[in-house]
Amino acid sequence: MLSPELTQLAREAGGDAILLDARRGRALVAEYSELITVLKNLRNAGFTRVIDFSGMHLGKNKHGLEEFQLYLTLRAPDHGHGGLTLKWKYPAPPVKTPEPATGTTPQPEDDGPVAPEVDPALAALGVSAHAIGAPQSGDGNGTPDTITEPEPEEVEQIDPAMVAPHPTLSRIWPAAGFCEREIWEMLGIPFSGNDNLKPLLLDEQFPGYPLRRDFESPQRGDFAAGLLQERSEAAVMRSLDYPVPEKTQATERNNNGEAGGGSA
Amino acid sequence: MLALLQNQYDFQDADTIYEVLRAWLNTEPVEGLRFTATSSNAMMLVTALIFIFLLELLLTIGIQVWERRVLGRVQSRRGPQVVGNIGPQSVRRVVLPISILLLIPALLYGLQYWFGIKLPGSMLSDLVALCTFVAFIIYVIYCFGYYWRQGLADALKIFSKEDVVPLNADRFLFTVAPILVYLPALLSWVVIPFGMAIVAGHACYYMVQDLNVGLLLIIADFALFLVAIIMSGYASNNKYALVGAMREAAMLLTYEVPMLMSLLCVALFAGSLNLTEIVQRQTMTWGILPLLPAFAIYLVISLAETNRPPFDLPEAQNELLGGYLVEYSGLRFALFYIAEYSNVFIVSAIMTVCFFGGWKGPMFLGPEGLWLTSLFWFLLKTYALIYFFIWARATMPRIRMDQIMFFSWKFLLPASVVCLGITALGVVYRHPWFNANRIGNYQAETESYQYLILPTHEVLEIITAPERAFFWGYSVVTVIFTAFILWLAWRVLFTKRKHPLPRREVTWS
Amino acid sequence: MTKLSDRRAELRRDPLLTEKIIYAVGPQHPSLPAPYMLEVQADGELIEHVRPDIGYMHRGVEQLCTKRTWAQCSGLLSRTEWLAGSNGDYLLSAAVEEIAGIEVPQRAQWLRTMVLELSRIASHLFWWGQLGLEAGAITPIFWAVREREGVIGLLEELSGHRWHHQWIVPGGVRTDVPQGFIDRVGQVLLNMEDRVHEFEEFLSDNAIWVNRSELIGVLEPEYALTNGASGPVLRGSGIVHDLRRDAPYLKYDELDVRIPVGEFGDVLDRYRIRMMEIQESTRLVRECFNHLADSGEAYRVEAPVDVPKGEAYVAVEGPRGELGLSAVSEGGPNPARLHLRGPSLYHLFLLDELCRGYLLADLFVILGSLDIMVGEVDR
Repeated sequence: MLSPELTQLAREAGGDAILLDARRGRALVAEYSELITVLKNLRNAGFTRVIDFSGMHLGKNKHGLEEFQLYLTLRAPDHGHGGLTLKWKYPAPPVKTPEPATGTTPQPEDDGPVAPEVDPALAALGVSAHAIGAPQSGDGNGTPDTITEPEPEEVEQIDPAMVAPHPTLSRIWPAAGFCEREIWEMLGIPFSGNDNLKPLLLDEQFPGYPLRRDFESPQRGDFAAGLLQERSEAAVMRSLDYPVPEKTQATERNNNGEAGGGSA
Repeated sequence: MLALLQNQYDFQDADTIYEVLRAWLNTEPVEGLRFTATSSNAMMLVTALIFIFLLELLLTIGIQVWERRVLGRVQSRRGPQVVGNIGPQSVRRVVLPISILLLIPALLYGLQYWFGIKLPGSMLSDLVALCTFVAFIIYVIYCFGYYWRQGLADALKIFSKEDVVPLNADRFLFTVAPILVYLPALLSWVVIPFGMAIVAGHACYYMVQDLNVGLLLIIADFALFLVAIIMSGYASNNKYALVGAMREAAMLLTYEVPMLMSLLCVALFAGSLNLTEIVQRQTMTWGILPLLPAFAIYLVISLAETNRPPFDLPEAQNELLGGYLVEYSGLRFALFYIAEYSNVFIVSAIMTVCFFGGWKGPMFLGPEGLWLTSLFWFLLKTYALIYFFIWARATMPRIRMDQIMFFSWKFLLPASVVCLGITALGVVYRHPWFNANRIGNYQAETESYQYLILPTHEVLEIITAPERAFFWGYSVVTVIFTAFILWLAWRVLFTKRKHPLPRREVTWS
Repeated sequence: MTKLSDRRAELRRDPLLTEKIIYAVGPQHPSLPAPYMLEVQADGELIEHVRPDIGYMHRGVEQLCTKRTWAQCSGLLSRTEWLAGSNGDYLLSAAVEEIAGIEVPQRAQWLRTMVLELSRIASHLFWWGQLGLEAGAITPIFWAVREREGVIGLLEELSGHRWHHQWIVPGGVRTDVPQGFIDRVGQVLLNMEDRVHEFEEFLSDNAIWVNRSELIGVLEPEYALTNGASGPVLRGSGIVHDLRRDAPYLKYDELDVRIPVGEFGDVLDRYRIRMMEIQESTRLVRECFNHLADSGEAYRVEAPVDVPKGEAYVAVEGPRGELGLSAVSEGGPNPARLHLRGPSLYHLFLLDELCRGYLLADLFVILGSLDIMVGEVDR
């Protein structure tokens, strides 16, 4: 159970973007672009121990991108080592540029868990905030989809090559670097800024990403049949499916955000 | 009583068995078999080599099996050869008959010696001869049954292994190195006096050669060992082997010097490097009494020189996978292995010869049984020291290389120099123990020194005051030190101390 | 292939052409309990850089867990932490209970606490034997395994398995304790305490061992904190942190857990901490007996096969450190993701900093003091 001081601490560090779960101190990060800032604030607030950093494959999202959920567990030694777990999705939901003429507040695509506000109607039904992120079927009241399913909206398909790599956490917590290696080799998420992004457990020539849901284990005979290709050295050092682009909007924003102090 | 212990079998003109054999061969034992000088020499050489080789093999394999049994006992498990001539059945089948066989003549001999009850004629000597012979046969059969299966299996396994030489290894050196390691171990057995016998009214030692520089041969043997180790490490074409060999060489070198010093103390004590003479000099007092510090130093050094734990960092499996031995397999490895155990026997033998009186002890079977009793005492003392080696292996972790070096250069070397100094003082001050009770008394009439062998209390009367002061000072220190050692042993072995003794500030919180 | 001109240039610069030796310790090595590789770059014997290379024991446990039901995963998880077999079972059960909101009966909680502490004793005993072997003493491993047999025999009596118990299940424990089990536990612990005193005499009072371990492998507290150290490794450096006190689980909030904390962060401190933890665990097991009597009769409640949607991160203070399980359920009988947080992974990558400046022979002693379990490093 997260102590009140720790709750306050985390809230101050993360701002409105962090919602604390009463039971275990799990939180959601709404703005992916603010992730590094939030984490740095957390680290400076006292959460200097990274306990675990892992990931899960959720599937293909409606933009045609492979979507992952990342979990980060921290502890703060100065505050009794209370635990805090954060989770966020990668890749970040694409942020629409605000249209200054209309004056409406820019809403990011509700691709993942977004604003922490709970609709009072839903709250009356007992839907808690952290369940919002999960895709709702029907209206959350048990009514099946076929009756009240909304029309499929036009969602733009994003080219995977345009997705920014995840910024590395190893500058903030050195121990996270090894976790990133494992996430990279198991799920294929590239981390930019991690110099040591080599496979941790598998050998360099292992094809595929084992913890993805559509992973099929290489069978005996695949190598002889020529189905297992050797990865090129360049591909080994970077992700195969997400070639790291030179500059994207997200990396620009991150770099500007890190202007104060690039390394931990 | 003292007379029995003093062992009046100090013959000045004793031979070795080797010579007796040569003399016997020259007397044309078989009709028409006449030896020329060269052929008899060659025959003797071959005989000696076979004799040493077999003896060494038997005794070192015996040590090996015994070590494994002892290790198993310490580790709360059984060692090898759970079935066989080891264990409770051996007490029934071997120890009891041998003890009875030897006890009967011993009792009779004791009766004769102390109370003057004599048996008619040569019955006693015949009885002793018979009993000892039968006891020996039983013992041989027991030993034969003790380890021949295990030893034979080991030997067959090793002989049947593939001959692997690493790529780009120096083939010649790779082959020669194990031989060069084995050879000094083999040759050192030439000078060890195992005991004494009276053959045809003539005393002879169980030795091959009674070299006047026997002790020096042993020391040189270890130096040769050092060269062979470097050779083996280099020839393996393996950087780990080379590093291990360099460590080994450094360790052996540093432990040579204190070894030399402590054995020099023994030479001062006995006045000779001849091993039989060293044994003879220990009639009145054993070498351990004056040379306790030298013994302690030599004990530790012998552990290091033979690469026994806790000094086995260069050859340990955990560290760099075996050091200089890593590329050797099969017969070559067997040679290293036998050489190591052979060295263990040799240093133990040297320790008994120099410090514990060699084959001396109460000869409870009289002159007829001298051959058995002297062998018995020698082997008993040697194996007691070998037990210490095995004990050290079972109980101690490894010392790190730089700590080994530190220990030798900074502790053992100064200690051995001090020990040498004290021994020299003792010799000069005519301390009876340091001179093996062989005190020089200046005869003013003839203006020469007359050397008398006197018991300690008589010596005290004839030496001068400062010498007497040194005597009492040394004795008191020795007594206190021995008492301290005994108290320490009692405390370690018999008291149950409460733990934890927090040596560090690991606190509960 | 370097060209001749390059080689000549090198020789001109450094005629002696000294190179640093790179030792490859592992993946097969008598000192390593399980396969992993350490690439040690050393100047002769002085270690400069240690790079661990892991993955030789990777069995895809996390991927396999997604194909099995929740209860079946306990077999996989307990085989990643094989010396203290119940920790994996407990983590899984705790995760399921938290996601599904199951209330476990009191008796089960006390029994679980007792079994976890017994597993800790068993693990530390084996660690002691292994450490002796690394240091060069060949006797401790036999004694340690013999004592461990006593504890494992108890756990076998309880669960039927010696190492991988699978006795802690979601909802409670599988069976109740047999008749007279408590007395037998007390007897085994009494015998073991006597022998552990002997163990202390063997190694703790040994001047050779103290010289091998004092001020070797010193771990700075700040470095330990920021690099994911936990358990005895963290406590050796002076940080007072134990999950049993700071984030209590099971019945540790009712038990008064004393934790040993070191001062220098060297091998000797970590060694002493684990020896004291054996004593402490013995005391805790005895305290559990007192509470067992008045904790009711129920030892298990039904747990659903289909765990509802949710996530949980549960952690225990394992023998090696903070052993954690991050579990994600999307409804259904299979876990969507199970991620085991093994403390040895982080400890292994501390080696570079720990070993710098020490000799090669110290590397093995430091490894022994870190108590690396490759199952949870590689999964």
